[in-house]
Amino acid sequence: MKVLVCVEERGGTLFNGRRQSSDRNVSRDMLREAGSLLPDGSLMPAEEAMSEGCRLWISPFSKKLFRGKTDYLVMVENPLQEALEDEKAEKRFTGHQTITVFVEDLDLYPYREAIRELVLYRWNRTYPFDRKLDIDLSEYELTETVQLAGFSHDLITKERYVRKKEGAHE
Amino acid sequence: MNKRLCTLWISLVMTLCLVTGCVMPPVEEETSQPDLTLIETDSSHQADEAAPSGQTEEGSQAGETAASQDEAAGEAATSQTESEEPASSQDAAADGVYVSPETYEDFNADTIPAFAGKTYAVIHDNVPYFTEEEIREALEGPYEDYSPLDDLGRCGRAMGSLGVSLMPQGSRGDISQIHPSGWQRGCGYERSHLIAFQLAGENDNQQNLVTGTHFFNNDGMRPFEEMVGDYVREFQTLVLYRVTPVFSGDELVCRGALMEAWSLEDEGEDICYCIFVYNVFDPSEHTLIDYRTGRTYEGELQIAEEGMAGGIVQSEKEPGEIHTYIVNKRSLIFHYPDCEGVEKMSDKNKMEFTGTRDDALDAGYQPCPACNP
Repeated sequence: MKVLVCVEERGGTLFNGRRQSSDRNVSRDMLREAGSLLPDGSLMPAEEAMSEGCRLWISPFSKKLFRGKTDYLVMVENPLQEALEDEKAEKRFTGHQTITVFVEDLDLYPYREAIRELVLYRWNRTYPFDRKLDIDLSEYELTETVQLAGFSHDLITKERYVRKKEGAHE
Repeated sequence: MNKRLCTLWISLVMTLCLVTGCVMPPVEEETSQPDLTLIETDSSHQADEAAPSGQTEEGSQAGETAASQDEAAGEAATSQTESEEPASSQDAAADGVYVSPETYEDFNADTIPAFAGKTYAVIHDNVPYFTEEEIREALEGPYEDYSPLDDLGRCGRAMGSLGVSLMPQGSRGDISQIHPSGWQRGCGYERSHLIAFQLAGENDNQQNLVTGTHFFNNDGMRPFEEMVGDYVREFQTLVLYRVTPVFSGDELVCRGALMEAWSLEDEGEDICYCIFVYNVFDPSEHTLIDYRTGRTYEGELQIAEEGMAGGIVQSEKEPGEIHTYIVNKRSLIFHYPDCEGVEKMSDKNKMEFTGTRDDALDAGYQPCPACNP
């Protein structure tokens, strides 16, 4: 499972039950991560996105960020749990399937072993928070850092982490 | 034989257990949590409960997120969980537990929560005090409004319906010519915008600038301003916003500011907060504010338990203690007797003054910057 999360400078994710920030360029990049946004910037046909498993899994909390893109979403109450179950089933029948999940309002910790890849979008801002990223990044290896130009933010830092193999944790 | 005895013994123990109702306690599953994990959920901040005082519950379209968590880094939430909720606000107040005022008008220096070491405290369950009328007016379009300075030259509330059209195109200009009430040069203050420059483009409006510490202005207010600014830029929509500096009596420096924000288009679904930011120095600086004058002095800021009443309590360096100071008759600067400045002073300029520090200030003397009496 590949999980996408947005964080502020200190690792905060939510304040007062609300997202701290959003940026349409980040939402677009998330569709790219799911595979439905093609290199030329266009979206693949919706039917193809569905059949190829290129849709982004979200909870209803995140729906607002993907207006007009519902064909490219799988919206379920707990996308982490359902993606986990779906991946297990897919592995049995087809061998391999990676699901991309965008998480804002759910705990990652219970699913940490299933999260093979973690993509952090860092706002490079200090926002208030009462909820934090609940995963230990020392269990992951940073493999890529990219600067994204935002719409409402100057630069958003995108970091890609891959889970270390068992026994390789610091 | 041994086997029989053993079986008999086990049967006896089991029978005893059944008779006495003794059962083995279940083995609790050990769960380890990483350092970053934040655990406890607090349903008191369920977003769907939020609606400003003027809003009906049906009118609230707040998010469906799970409850917020306590935070290891220690962001404050002053409201009580249901199980801890006291029987009545009177009981709570009697126990020293903080209870937010019911109305905006009742929020003042006497009703701010105790400083718990964090830049801000949540007020009124994070729901702004805006009235229906204020919301209706704000929906008509962007505006900004600043209270005139009072007789002491102090700012009042700054309010606006913030939209992109109010945001500045260029960068901020020089504001060093503005001296907000209580401003003291060299005390480490910042000229603090009530409505941030990035939100309304007010550069040097003296009705929008107060004397504040870095802890107040940058660490406290700024994260909340950034959240609103980025939201307005992203969605090109309006946020009703109010910042109210809170002064005690005739003090010239505010104790802090009440900050309220409410996204209008989605009725607070994305932006909804009501917090008080403390105007104090970072406790690690061991610097206190004489809020009456803006002068600073050494001392300890009292840090209370979260969610308690009491406001800002300073363990002062005995400002009320009587000292004998040495005053330079020419410069009118007063010193502790052992200050190096006294040694260098000619005898004819020396004059003793006995009284409190405040007495010396009231007499028109200035404290020596070296010995800081």
